Amino acid sequence: MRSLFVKIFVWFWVGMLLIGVASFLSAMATESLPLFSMPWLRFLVRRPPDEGHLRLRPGSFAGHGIGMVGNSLRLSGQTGAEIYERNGKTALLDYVDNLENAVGIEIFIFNGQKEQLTAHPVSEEVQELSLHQIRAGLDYKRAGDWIFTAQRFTGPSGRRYMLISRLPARRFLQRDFRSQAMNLIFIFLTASGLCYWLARHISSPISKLGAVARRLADGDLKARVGAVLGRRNDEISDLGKDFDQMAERMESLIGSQKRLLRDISHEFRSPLTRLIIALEIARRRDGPEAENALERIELEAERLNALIGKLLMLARLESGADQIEKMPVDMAELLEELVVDADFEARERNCKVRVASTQNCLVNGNRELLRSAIENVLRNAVRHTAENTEVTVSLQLASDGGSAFAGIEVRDNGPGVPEASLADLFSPFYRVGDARDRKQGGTGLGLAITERAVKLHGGRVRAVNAHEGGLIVKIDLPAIKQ
Amino acid sequence: MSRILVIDDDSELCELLTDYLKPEGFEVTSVHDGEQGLQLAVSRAGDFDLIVLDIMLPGMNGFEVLQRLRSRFDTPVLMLTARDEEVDRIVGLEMGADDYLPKPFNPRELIARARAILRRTHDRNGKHGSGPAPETIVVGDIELDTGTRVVHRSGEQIDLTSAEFGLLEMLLRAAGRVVTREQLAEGVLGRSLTAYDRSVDVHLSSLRKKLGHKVGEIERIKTVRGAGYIYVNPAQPEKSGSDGDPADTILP
Repeated sequence: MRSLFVKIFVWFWVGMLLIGVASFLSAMATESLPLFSMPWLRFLVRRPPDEGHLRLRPGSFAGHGIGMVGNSLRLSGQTGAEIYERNGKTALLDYVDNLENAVGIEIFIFNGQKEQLTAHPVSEEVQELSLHQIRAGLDYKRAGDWIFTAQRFTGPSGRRYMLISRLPARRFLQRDFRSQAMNLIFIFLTASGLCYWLARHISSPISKLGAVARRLADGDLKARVGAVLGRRNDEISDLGKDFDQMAERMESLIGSQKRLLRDISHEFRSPLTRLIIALEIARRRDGPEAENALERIELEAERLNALIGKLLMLARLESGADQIEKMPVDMAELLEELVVDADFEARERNCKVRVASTQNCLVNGNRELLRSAIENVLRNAVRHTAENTEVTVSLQLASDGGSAFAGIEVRDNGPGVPEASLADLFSPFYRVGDARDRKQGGTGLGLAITERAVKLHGGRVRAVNAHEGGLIVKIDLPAIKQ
Repeated sequence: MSRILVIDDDSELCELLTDYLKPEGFEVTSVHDGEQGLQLAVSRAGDFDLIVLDIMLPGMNGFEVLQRLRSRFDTPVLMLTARDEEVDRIVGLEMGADDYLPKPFNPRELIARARAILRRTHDRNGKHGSGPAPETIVVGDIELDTGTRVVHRSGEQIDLTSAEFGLLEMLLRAAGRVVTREQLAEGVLGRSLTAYDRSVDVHLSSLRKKLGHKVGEIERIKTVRGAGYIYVNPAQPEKSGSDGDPADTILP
């Protein structure tokens, strides 16, 4: 069960229900527990045991229906005995008939010699009861859907009689059952109401807190709990206040880090800018003899500039100072743009860059970071692929279980990379063949940036050697399902 | 001699620039403070052909200077931006800068862009007197007047920078047909695009924002992968796409 609300609700609800059921059962089971004679439980009606003896005392808490029936049966029985003794059997039978029709109960009357005076078929239960020694009061027995009662009384002549009645158990239990059911429903409703309120009271502020935390994590550094929790004064509102303090601190830390990076960039680039202009002035002034040296200066200045740019980018990615705004990025479109530019660069060495296959897919991410990530891979490929060869790029949308992935592959026709070094490719400043790489340009940071940027998007990047030679760099990014 | 006003707090840089630009035909006046720069630009607006403005100024920052300047004068402005801040470029261009150049830059590049801007301004000013007659181009809900250089969308006037205007003019004249990025760069920026140069894209995205990305259900300006951009002709929206041949001649 994931939801706190559901957990709290179900726990307490089941608990209350169990209490309700327990009270229901014990109410039915016991007869005279003092607990159940409390006034507020008076409406709880107990079901009498299946058989037993009821002593009818005034004010006793007798099995409701049976007690009452017993009383009226005795009276009816005595009347019957009178009629029998005075007017004979036929009159008795008439009387019993009328009585049966009136109350809907089957009545058997036995004389002192255990002979039936009435004329009904006698069942086992009746037989048993008739033989039973009845103590003063009422005996009864429950058998399936029927309740049998047996009662002794004396006629006006002093002779003993027994009246056995057979009535549908339903009649008695119905009332019991109904009020117990009402009871249960009442508990159910109260429990539901209370539990709902309790669960909401706890789980609702927690999920609100979660929503604010998520906003903060997604980049909204100004997200605060503030008044979202409403007016409360407990551990949860304390949590809210602590959260706000933490967010405040985060915002100021990240803010100062961003400023620092920006300042560093500025401080590094100002001298470089001046250097380059001075270089151009020197170039114009001095003769061709100085040209070689000046070209070298220009090259190194460019390298420094590239290095600064990449280092700063890496620093930003590492520190998480970048507030990445994410939005759906059309990967096919982005790749297309990058390939056009890379192809332009590749022409210098008579190489080509082209898109081998593409598919429509969207990735939720930061366009600039994604651009950097792929651009670095592309430029690397262009730099390393042999002259007169081509670099191919492919984009595929794949799904793995419930999630979709955008798979980008950049394959070049260069010398490839020794198997042992494949994993290290993405470490900062790692170079495979020192001298050669430096000549071809490159800072050693491009792939490190790619890896960080891809990771930030929840994806991964790896390099493998192609069978036919050359390197394949694969980037997988979580895509938006379409 | 073209006269340039450079507003940059790096005084050594300004010295070097002055040194470099003089033999190239540019007379440089430099100021190292945003406030001062603005005052100078405003008080002697007619004296300068181009303003080179550093975005990262202490005190009144470059954007403010640009905004205040633009509200009264349309002296061409070339922004010097930080290399990593894409947003600066976009905001600057939206505010009315004609082009941008990230630091550090090669001064030859600076000259190329400066010349392109000056050429465009000259052409524009020239048109008033001796160019082709001004005309109004109407496509869908857009009305573009080449004489007054004003654009209306459904009657409402839209403020566009000079570069955005040029871009829109080219696209509208070729409505329904693809215009390549190279053509746009030549026609609007007066120069060719270098690799990984996003200038056209930035101007275009700001143009999209100002005009509105969609007209009803259709995209106003479509990006055609591998080809360029196309202003969708509302009369025949289905026709816009890969089947269109790139327009050959755009501007008269």
